[in-house]
Amino acid sequence: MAVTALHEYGVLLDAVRGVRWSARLRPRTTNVGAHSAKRIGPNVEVTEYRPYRQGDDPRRLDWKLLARTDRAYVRLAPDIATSPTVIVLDASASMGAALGGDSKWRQARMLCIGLTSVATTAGDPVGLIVAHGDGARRLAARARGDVVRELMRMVDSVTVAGAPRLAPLLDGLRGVDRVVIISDLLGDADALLVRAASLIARGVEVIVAHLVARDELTLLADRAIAVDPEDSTLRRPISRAAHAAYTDAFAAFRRDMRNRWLASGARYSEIIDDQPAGDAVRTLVRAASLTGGTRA
Amino acid sequence: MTWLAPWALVAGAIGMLGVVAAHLLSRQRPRAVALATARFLPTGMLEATTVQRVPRDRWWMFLRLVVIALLGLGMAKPVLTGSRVTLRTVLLLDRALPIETQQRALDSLASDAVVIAYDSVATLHPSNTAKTSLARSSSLSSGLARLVRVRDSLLRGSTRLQVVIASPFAPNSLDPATRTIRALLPDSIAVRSVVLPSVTPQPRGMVTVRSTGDDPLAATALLLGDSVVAGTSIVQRGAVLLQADSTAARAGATVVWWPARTLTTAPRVRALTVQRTTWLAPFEPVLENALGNGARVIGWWEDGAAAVWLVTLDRGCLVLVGAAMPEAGDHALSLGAQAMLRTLLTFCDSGRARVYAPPVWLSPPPRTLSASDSTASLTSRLAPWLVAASLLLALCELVLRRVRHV
Repeated sequence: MAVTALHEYGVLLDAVRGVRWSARLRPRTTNVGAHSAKRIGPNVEVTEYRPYRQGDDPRRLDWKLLARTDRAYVRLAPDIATSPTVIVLDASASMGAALGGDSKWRQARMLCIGLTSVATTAGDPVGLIVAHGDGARRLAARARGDVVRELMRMVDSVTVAGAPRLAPLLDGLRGVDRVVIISDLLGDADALLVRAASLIARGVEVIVAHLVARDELTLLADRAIAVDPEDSTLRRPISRAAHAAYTDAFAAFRRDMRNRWLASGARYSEIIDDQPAGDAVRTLVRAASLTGGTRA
Repeated sequence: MTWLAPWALVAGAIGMLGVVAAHLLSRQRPRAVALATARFLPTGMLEATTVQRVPRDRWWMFLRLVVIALLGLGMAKPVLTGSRVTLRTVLLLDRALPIETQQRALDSLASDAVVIAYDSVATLHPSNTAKTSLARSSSLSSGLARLVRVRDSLLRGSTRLQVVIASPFAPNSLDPATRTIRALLPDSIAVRSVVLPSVTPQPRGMVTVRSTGDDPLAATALLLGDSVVAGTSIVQRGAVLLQADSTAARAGATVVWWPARTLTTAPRVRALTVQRTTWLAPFEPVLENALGNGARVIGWWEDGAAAVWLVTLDRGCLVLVGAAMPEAGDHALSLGAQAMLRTLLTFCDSGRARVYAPPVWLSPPPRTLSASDSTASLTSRLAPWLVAASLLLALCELVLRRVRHV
């Protein structure tokens, strides 16, 4: 791992220290975690009592109170659980092919490490799937203390290349409560959306970090031929006359992505490559925490 | 300054124009950049050729212009001539010209010109010491051959030769070797117009007939009297040519040698043609091309065989008739015989008072020689340096372009 990268990661980890990532949905498991869930349930720390209603879990009855007072009350306390998280990282050639260089890929790596740090701080197991030209590299979800370092080594060893498909990578996910997709959505975005919607229907929280390069937004280049890094036959001239049409088309694409992902129930955030990585991580975590939900 | 290969200047100028045109014509294929969002760009032309008002890459254009200019200058082989005489005139003077015409040609020459005077031989003179001299005939080949021999030495004091010929270009002054020798000279040759003096009546001389016995041709010759030929004319009837005949011919006489021969059989009537004169008589061919190389055929039998030869000597000529005729009979007294004898006696004079058109191949330089051969004795010291500077700048351009791309 390069010293420079390590230094950047260090700055990022300092920046995201203290960020808490609460579960948006009720956890299905009874694993004990470090962060609070939005489900009010049994816990050792009782916050309130309420009368027993039909349908309540009899195990939550305060039997001692029932014995003393002959009144049936249930103990209410915030649930404490873990949310196994998998980060799907797009390492296709397009991630390293903005006019300004590989800033998108760099931002994606920082997001990956930052989110991993936040999740592991909360006790959540974190896994990683990196999709690149040679296939997919997987790291199973784990909650060990050195998982952040493992992920650092893994993402730093990957070189962006090819045009891998992300959608099939979502098929094999089991026992996962949270999936974070970090991609520029220039590959199989439609298929990915379908698979993600399927996950969401199963109660999995899907967070999409749509990476966009600043140079892609402003398109400062002029009098050049733009070549798609994933399809060398796609060559288009960059000219001043084409700027307006490009800006409109790209804005329409981003708007369409945002609307469709939000409509599917996913948490969607557009991340610019020159945005400070700590801020980007906070943005993603906040987007995931803004709205609550219940598991289906 | 003079240029040994001026065509290179033209080629260099064309090349420079080409460079400017290439920089005005902008066929641009822009640089390719990787852009993940290329799909959102509208389709369009990937390259286009446009004519611009201002040349693009002007520094590159300037560098290329300098390269081509230096290369053109180097290939043109500049020579710093300073104050040297750059042009030397060589006059090829035909001694067959009248004295007055020769003198006029000599008077028109500059002091540094040289004269190659030729008749059967050629001599080299400075223009101020050249003397006029009259010859009956001349050989242009001898003059050209002399010029070929002395050309390099004449060029040492000059950069270019101007060759001028003053000659009537009589047919007998040309021979098959003339064109070959002329091809050895790379210079163009100017032909000086020759104005012959008006023909003044020449004193008529008697036709001397040398024969033995009663010769019918002698009687015919006597009939012609002194009204036909100018100068000395001799009709020699004998078995062989005499030394005196050749001597007389060299001195300017026209000697017609008609061999006297006794016929053993009765000859048949044959036609003898010289120029436009034909004589029908009982003849028997003799000589049969047994003459030397100096003879030129001027008369033929009706079957195309040679019958009469002309040998041009210094100032006169020798006419050899290869026909024997019977001694008896009045054939020699016919009008045809008189016309034939008049033609033979005046044949030498026919080429003396006329100016003929020069051969078309004489003036232009031969195509097989390059223009630089005309100044082959000169070398350009600047040329290698100019070419080297051009190549060095071209190398610099390559390196600079490579560095820029890196």
